This record gives sequence, structure tokens and C-alpha cells, in this order.
Amino acid sequence: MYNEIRAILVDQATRLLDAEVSQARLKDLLENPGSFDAALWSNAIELGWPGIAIAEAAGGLGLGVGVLAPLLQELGGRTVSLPLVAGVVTAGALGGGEVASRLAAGCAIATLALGEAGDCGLSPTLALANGQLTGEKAPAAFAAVATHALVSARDGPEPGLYLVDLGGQGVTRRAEPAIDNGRAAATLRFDRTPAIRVAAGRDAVLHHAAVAATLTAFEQVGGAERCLTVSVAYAKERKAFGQPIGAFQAIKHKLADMYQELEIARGCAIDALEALEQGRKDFFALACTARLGASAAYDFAARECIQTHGGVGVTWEAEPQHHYRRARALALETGGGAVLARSSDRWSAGSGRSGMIDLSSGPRVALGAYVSQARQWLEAMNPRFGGAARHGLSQEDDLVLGRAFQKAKSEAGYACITLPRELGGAVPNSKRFCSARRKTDSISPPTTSLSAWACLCL
Amino acid sequence: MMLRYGDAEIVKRLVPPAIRGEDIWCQLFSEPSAGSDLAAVRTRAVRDGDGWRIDGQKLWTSWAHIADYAIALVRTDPTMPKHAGLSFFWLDMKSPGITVKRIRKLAGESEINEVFFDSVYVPDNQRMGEVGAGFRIAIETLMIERYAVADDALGGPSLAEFASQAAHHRINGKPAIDDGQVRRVLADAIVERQGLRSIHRRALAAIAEGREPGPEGSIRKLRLARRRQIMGELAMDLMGAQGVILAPGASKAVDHAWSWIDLPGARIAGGTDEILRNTIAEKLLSLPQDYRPDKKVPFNQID
Repeated sequence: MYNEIRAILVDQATRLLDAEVSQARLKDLLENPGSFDAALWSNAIELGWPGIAIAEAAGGLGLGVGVLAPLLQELGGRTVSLPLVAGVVTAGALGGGEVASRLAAGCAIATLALGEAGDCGLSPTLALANGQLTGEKAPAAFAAVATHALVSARDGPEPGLYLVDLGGQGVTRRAEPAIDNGRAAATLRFDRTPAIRVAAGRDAVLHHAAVAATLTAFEQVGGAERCLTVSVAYAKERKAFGQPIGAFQAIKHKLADMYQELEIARGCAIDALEALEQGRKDFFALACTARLGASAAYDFAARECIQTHGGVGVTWEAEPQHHYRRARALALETGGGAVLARSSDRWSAGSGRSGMIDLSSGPRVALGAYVSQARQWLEAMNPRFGGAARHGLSQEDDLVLGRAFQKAKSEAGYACITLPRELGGAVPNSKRFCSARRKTDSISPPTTSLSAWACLCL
Repeated sequence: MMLRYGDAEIVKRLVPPAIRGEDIWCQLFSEPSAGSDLAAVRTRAVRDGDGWRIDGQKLWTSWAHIADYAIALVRTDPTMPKHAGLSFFWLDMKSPGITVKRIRKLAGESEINEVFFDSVYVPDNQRMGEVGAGFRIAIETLMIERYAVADDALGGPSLAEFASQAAHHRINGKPAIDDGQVRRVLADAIVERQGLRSIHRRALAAIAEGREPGPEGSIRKLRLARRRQIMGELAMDLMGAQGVILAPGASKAVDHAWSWIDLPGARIAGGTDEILRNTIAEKLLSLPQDYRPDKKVPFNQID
């Protein structure tokens, strides 16, 4: 069901975007500061896109972020800008009410105003006084056309998120020339503007920023994937020195690197999304990896996409410029990479705060009983065969120990688990041979020495 | 590979002791003139009655000095183009005519060897696959190896180990873990590890559902080997002048200096970084092959 809805949406999006979004239309948007494709936004509203990932209680369709993500990836691949992420994050922070349902219906547009000039972090200096804001936020995507802003500000020492009606008192928007004019971005200035607090505390600010970062990561992955596709196509077609340039290792290795960065970014984004959907404690840490991975992958892909195209890549007419602009714009909007790399203070081993990646933990997988059992067994074997037991052994003695470990694994049913039991493996009948293959790889035992061994022997 | 290409009787006899750790097998692939270009192997197998006589030399063979059995890639027809003239055998390492010589690696003690063949007899029923199909079978074997090389740290110190050391080492009196550059490198490593874990997790899910895992798993060894080298260099940097110490008996699984000095082989064995990039580009992205002037030429006519 879930997968079907996703497939239907992506198919719907592909048809709409193929029909409506031309390179010429995208280039028109780049011409003037604060450009917004209002006609396309109307199409999106007709199709119900603004409400996809907004809860039913808040007036949305309640299909979840997992359904929205592939759509965002499709939009990202085409450098199409629609204020979907800002709407989802704002409605999520609000939890319900009139503004949330208007956002879900698409008759209100939200902008996330988190950044400030002079600080690349997510700690606001904009201060609340008597329930009003006075000061400025750095350019925010869709601020040029939004009806509401989710603004980070502080009340005394405590940071929080505030809802501002942009039609209200003292609001000035200034769309300035930018690297990517197609983001409908504007600087927001407030002068005694009324603001309603919707979230309090640094963790709350970071959480909502992390939701935005996770969803944006899918736009970035879509963009990076498109860069790879067009670069590969061009490298096959363009000839120099009597052969396609894609046959030269200087080009093919660059594209192989682009592929690796993309797949790592995609992996991080998928894992962060899953943690968000399941409301897991490790969501924030995984969102940091999604943010860093996706920004790095898209920046790299966009930069090297131009390089692969040579002179054509730097022209206005060619496609790469859109990605070069968009990659940087998306990397900056929700706080630069530096911020989240800093947030790795939350990753320090044993620091014990909620939401941190435990550096000593194994893969973030829902562990089946089999794997936990295998882990327990490895744990029990650790004193006999682990790093400490091997310390200082000669290669000969280490070999004796290695053989003994292999024998112990075989007796416990953990040696070559992909092979049939009658040969000493673990598969009861040969038919399950395929489905059981490689399962031990997910076992992440407590010491690397042991895991290295396990892998060597399996 | 034995299960795929060996006959049932042989599988029953040879596989169980290998699984129990009683018999050790090695892989006789690389040669002095055939490394990344594996199809250039020169070790010859010539028909002799019901079997073959093997002459030549293999190189970089891990554990050959203790191995009981081996699988080997040899040239059975030098008049064919290089990929087509190869065949695949298993053999007893105690066969007369085999000499094993240890190679000392840069890190000192080592598991790698040279193996010399002087008219070694191998019966034809130890051939795996058809005559001439050896290259394809060797590549299948290597694909298993590339996928299986697999803990998060590739046998080196874990990121947790790195982080705890970085918390103890100081830069001008301040904990190294508070330094922005150190955190940036650690963050990059964590991102990469998370991406690889996700790929791995999805591959397992695919296998469990009876689907083929995606090809993205092939980036794992390429990324982890280079990463272990980067982390080793940084960890040694954080120790300052003390970083030069190579403590006797310490394990590469916890000691960064040992991890670093032992690492270069990992970027070469089982497919060099460069060959793996070629594979990604050519097999996954369908980019054109490198220029290969020897490709369709009979092997014995290549300069």
C-alpha cells in the first residue's frame, strides 16, 4: 500500500513535471531575485502535495514523510522549488490549528527563517520582547511569497521557534540577488512584529531543523543523482583524442567517486528518514549524517558535472548551472555543514545524552532474534578469542587460536552460515541457501578484532 | 566456488574440514606480471595424460605457507586471446613440485608468499568449470571477496576507539576531540559509515525478501580501506612525536600505528582502488572501457 502510494505519486509528479517544467522556464526563474513558480504551485495544490506529510489531525493527508521523500527527490532532480518542506516542518511544529490546515491545503505558504547574518550556526540572537520580534533574519527560501514564517528567536536566554504572520505589523521582505534566484528567497525584517511561540528550547529548535534537513536531503540526493546521470551521458557522447572522454580514467574515476558520494548520501538520508518515521531517539544524529552527506554529495556532483562538461558546462544554456546554484543554496538554507559537524559533540563516546549516535553500537538495524543471539555468542567467545587473547601471540600461536575459533563457530552453527548444514554450515536445507546468505555480516560484535576475524573466517 | 563448480563427492570430502578450520585453503591468482591485469597470468598448464602439468610462479598468495589446498588460475591455451585461454583448478598444496617462499611486508611479519610450480601434476577432475572459463570463475571468486571484506573498520580501530583516544590526546593542553578539524574528519567518517551501513542493511533486507541486493555494496572495500588509512594518519598526528611508536605485539585492531602501517595492502588486495573505480565506472555506469591494445590478440603474440 505504502509503496503503491509512493509509486503513484512519483508517476504523477513525473508526468506533471515533464509537461510543465522546461529548462527555459527554470532559467526564467533565475533571472530575477525572489522568483517563484506560482503556476506550478497551483498544480501541486490540485494534486494535494502540500498536505501529503501533514498529519490528518492538522488537516493534512497524513501519508507521512516516507511518501513525501521520493517526490522531493524527483523535484530535486529537476531543480524545481516548491515550499513543501517548510510547510511540513511548520505544520509539524504547530501540531494543528487553522494555520496548519491552511498549510496542508496549500492556501498558506511557510518559510523557515532559521539563519542570521554573521553566524552560520542555529543559535538565534533575534530576541523576543513583549511577545514581539524586532530584527532581521538572513535570506530564507520562499520568504518572498510566504504567508507565515517559522522563525528561530530567543526569549531571554532560551531559544525557540515562533510563528509569525507575514501579513502582520512591521514585516518587511527584501528579495536580494542571490546565487539561486529560483528559491523565492528574501531577507525578513521585523519591527515589533507579533510572534507566537510554538516550540521552546535548543533541542526543539534543532529537532525541527533536523526534520527540514532530512527532507531536504532527498532533494539533494535527487539533484546529485541527476548530475551523475547527465555527466555520464555526456562522457559517453563527447569525444576527444579519438575516444569518448568517459574512457579516460581522469573522467571515469571522477564519475565513480560521484557515484560513491551519492550512494553514501542516499544511505544516510534513508536511515534518517526511517528514524524520523519511527520517532526514534537516534533521529537527530542520523539527520546530521543525512545533512552532511547530502550536502557534500550534491556540491561535489554539481561542481564536477560542470567540469565533466568542459566549456559547455559554464554556459547559461546548459543544465549544470542549475545544479551548481541549487547545491549551494540547499547546503546553506538550513545551516551550513560546519554547524552539524560541530554537532558531533553529541557523538562523543559515552556522553549519554538522548539522540546521540552511540559510537560503540552496531548497525542501526532492527535486530532479529537470530542476530542478537549471534551477538551474545560472540560476546561470550570474546575472552577466549578476542583482541586481548590474541595480544602478543606469534603468528603460529595466533593460527592455532584461529583454528580453534573456527571450530567453535562451526560447532555453534556460526561458521559459513550460508552453506548447508550437512557440510558444517547453518542452512537446514539447501533451498534456503540464497535467503540466508551473508546474514552474519550484520553481526557487529563488541570488538573489532573479533569482527574482523569473524569476517575473515566466514 | 567449490559448491558451484566442484563435483558432489569432492564437496562432501573437502568442504566440511575447511569449515571446521582443519583445512586451510589459499587462492593462487596474482603473478609477477599479472596483478590488476589478472588475465595476463603466465603460469602454464599443459595436458599430460589424464591431467595437467603446471609450471610457473604465483605471487602475493595469502596463507600459502600454511595452506593445505588451493584454487588456481592458470593458462591452458596461449594461442587464444588472454581472457579466453585460462582455466581454473583446485589442487593439493603438498603436491610434488610446489615451493612456497614467504614475503616480508613493509609491516614486518606477513601472511603473503611466492609460490613456485615445477612440473606439478594436477588430475583433470580437479578442474573447476570448462577449459577456457577460468577468468570468469576467478572474477566470481573476487566478487565474493569484495563483498565479504566487511566490518565497519575493516579490521582497524573502530571510530569509538578513535574518539576515545582523541578525548585523551591534547592539542596545546586542550582535548583534541574539541578541535574543529578533528571533529570534521570524525564527522566525515561517521557519515560514510552510516551510508555504508544503510547500504548493507538494505542489501540484507533485499536478500531476505529474495531480491538481488543493489550494486552499491561494491563501494564498501574501496571506502573503508582508504578511511582506515586517513583515521590512522590523524590518530598518529594527535599523538604528536609519540605517534612514531610501533609497540611490539600490539594489534592493528586497536593500535593506530599498526593499523596505519599494515593498511596499504588493503588498498591493493582484492582489487586496487583504481581497478575498483574502473569497475564502478564500466560495470555500473556503463562508461566505455579503458584502451586495451592486447584485448583480441593471441596471448603468445602480446609484446
